Order: sequence, then C-alpha cells, then structure tokens
Amino acid sequence: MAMGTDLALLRLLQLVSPGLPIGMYSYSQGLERAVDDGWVSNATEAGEWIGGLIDSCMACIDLPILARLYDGWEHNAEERIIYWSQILIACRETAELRAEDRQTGQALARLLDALALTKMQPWIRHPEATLATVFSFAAVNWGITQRETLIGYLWSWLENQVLCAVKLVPLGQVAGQRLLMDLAGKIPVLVDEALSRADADIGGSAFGLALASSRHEMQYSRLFRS
Amino acid sequence: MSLNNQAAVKSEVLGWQASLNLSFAATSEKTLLVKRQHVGPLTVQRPFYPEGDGVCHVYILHPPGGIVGGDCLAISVDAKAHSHALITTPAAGKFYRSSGEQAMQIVEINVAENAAVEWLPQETIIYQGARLKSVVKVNLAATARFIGWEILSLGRPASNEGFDYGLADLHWQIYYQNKPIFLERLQLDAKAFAARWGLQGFSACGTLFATPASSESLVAVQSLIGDTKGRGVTRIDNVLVCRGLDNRTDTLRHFFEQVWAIVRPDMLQRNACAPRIWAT
Repeated sequence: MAMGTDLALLRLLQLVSPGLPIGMYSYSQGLERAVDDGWVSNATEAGEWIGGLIDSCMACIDLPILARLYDGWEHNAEERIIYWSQILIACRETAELRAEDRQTGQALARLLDALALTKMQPWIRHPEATLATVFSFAAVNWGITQRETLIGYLWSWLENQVLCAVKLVPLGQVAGQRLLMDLAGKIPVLVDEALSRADADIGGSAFGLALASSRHEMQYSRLFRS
Repeated sequence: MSLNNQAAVKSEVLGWQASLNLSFAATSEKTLLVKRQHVGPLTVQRPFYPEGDGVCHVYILHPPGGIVGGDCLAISVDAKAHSHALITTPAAGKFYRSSGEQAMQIVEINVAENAAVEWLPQETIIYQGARLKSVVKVNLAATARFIGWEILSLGRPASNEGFDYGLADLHWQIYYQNKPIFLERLQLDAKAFAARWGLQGFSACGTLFATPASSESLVAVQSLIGDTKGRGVTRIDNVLVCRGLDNRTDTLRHFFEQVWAIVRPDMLQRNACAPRIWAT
C-alpha cells in the first residue's frame, strides 16, 4: 500500500501549501496590529506571540475540534459536523477572525468542488463552513490519517503566521526559517494532547490576540484582512 | 425571602455552598422580582426603581466578602418576557489566594422574549495565588437584549504584587436560541498574565458584551476609543464585544461605563443611569 500512503502524503502537501488558492496569505490574525502597536518588534517577540497563540488557542480549540470534524466526515455524521463547526466559529473572538475562517473555508469548498469533490458544493456558501470543516473533509476524502491532518493543519497555520511576521516585523528569511524550526518542534506533542482532549476541556483564548484583532478592525492603513 | 433556606451550609472540605435564584416578571407597571431563593450567604437587597419607571435594579450581596478555595457559588437569573432587570453588586468581588483547592462561581442568565438583562457587577479582584473557575452562561431568546461586563483586577498592583502564581479559568458563553454564538475561555496564569499575547503585565482587564448592538454603536465606541492604547471593540453579527487592558481598574471601569452609556440608549431606548452604589 506504499502507493496509497504516498498519494495521501502528496495530497496533504498540496493541501497545506501556501500556494493553495484560498487566500491565506492575506490574513495576519491580528499580527499586523500587534506589530503596529509595538507588541511584536523582533524575532524573539514574534516567536513568543506565535507560540502563545499555538498553546492558548490552536492546541485547545482548533486541533481538538479538527479531530472531531474528521471523525464526523468519516462517519458521515452531518449533525456532528455542523455542531463542531458552530462551536469553532463561536470561539473566534472578533468579526475579522470569523470572517477569515468562513472566507477561507468557503474558498476551499469552492476549490474542492472544482476538483470534482462535488460533495462540497453546498458548503461554498454555508455559514458553518470553517477552514477546519472543509480541510477535514478533504483529508478524509484523500486518505490522510487523522493525526497527519492535525499536523498539517497546524503546520500550515504556523507557516502563514511566520510568513506574516517576516513581512510585517520585518524579519530576515533565515530568522523566519529558524522560527519555523523552533515552533514546529512543539507540534507532535500538541497533536497528541489534542487527540486525547475531552469535550469539556475544549476552549481557549488569548486576550492579546482578541485585543489586537479588535484593534486591527479600526487600523487606518493595513495590508492584511485580519 | 425563603427563610427555610437561610441556614448556611459550611463544610470543612467544601467551603461555602451558596446559591441564589432570581426571577423577574413584567407587570403593566414595572418589573417585579417574583422569586428569590437562596441557600447560604448569597442574597439580594430589596429591589428598587431609581429610573422612575419599571426597570428593576437589584444588588447581589455576598456577606463573606470574598471567595476562597473550595467555595462554590451559583447564581441564576431568569428574566421572563418583557421584564427588564439591572443587576450589580455593592462592592468588588474577591477571590483569595488558595492553598490548593479551586473556587467555583457559576452564573446562568436566561433572557426571554423582549426581556432585557444588564449584568454589571463591580470588578472582581483575583489575588495572586487564587485558583478559580468562573462560568457565565447567557441564554438569549430571539428578541432578548443583554448587556454584561466582567472587569478583573489581578494581583495587588498597589502593593507591587503581580500574578506570579495561581490560575483563573474564566468562561463566557452566549447562546442565542440555543445556538452558541460566543464562547470564550481565558486561562490566566503567570505566563498569560505576563505574555504579550496575554495581559502584558497589566493588572486590569475587562470585556463588555452587548447584544443586539447596531453598527452605529460600533462606530460610536470606535470613536470613543480613538487612539487610546489597550482598548478594542468588534461587532460579531450583532454582538458588540469591547475589550480593555489597563494599569488601573478604576480607569478601565470608567471606560466601560462610557461604552455602556453608548449602547444603552441604542439597545434599550434609555440613558445610562449609574446605580448610586457605584459612587460610594
């Protein structure tokens, strides 16, 4: 079955590529405002910011919900998929963060529909189409394992945040790659924890992120949509 | 007041077990506090009507004055159709340092059709080393209106005390017609207190929620904020969420009172009427 797993790996690489046309590069998730407010001004501070968001948001919200959405698609349990997608959207702290999740989720649904995964057609305008909702559908469909789905999702979020930091702080390319090396090292443990997290323990928030993103909504001049 | 429930239940292991259930109902003239059941040291004063019409103002009292590890407080508020209640407290709430056990405070607020609840407690002081879990769950009917805030003061900045240990697990959950529309869980420990993604070492932080808030309210709050640092506002569908960080709790509270004075006329067609107890 080497060919099957090889193909699954290739599909995962395609799904997490910054070249995936869902517009990820236009969202900074509050980092643009954090830089503007002087909260993040060098590589160390960028690492602290991004690492903190991984621990306090991604690890306790996105990853465990992504795991549940994956299960939902595997069992074709539409109610569960909607339920967890609603929870995920409700955990986004600002209008911009919600808009980002819906826009990227719907864009991925549109792309998958165009790639003949027509089951995604109704999700193109679905209010509950978060990125994790559609990402997990693609992963199940392409035979990517649940664990690798979580790893890939977090990696693609991390790479996007680091690319934003390189552009905004700004950081040198090597400094950016060093950040990726450091922060990616946390991913395997966090994925293990997320896979064993109980429903009641899902939820998180970073006050600084919520504040930065709220302030980004009224930032006068900006490059990013979040 | 239900006298038969007045015996406070205090156990060595569990600390104070206190609960308070309030129900408000509208009559043609005013909103009445139609039910108040309490167990343990958690009560309300006689309601009053400082706005000269039907809005029922209520102060929740917690005579012990502070919450320690093992304490468990539960408050429920039920606003029936067309009622309007404003609930506050006469003094700051306090969570004291714990020797290990967690303190719990659970608040559930149900707002029925055309009813309005304003949940505006004074600030909560969380001492260094406190361990607590606090949950505020708001259930809104389709035409319900709600304004609420939570203002926290961490450590004791006047004595140069920060929040180097302790854990506050703070949940806010807003449901609209049984669907979750806002879920937040702040886990404040030494790291989150100091971090740039957390409270950045500021001792005061707060969040105000108002729904349904108009886009005009959003614009008005944005212009109130202007260039002020440490303040932010967003409007998620029609839930306005305003956040602030500050060195001083009184400054932050003053800011939230100004925000309240913007959203209240817009949502409830009445000007802000600050409870007199806030000034004392």
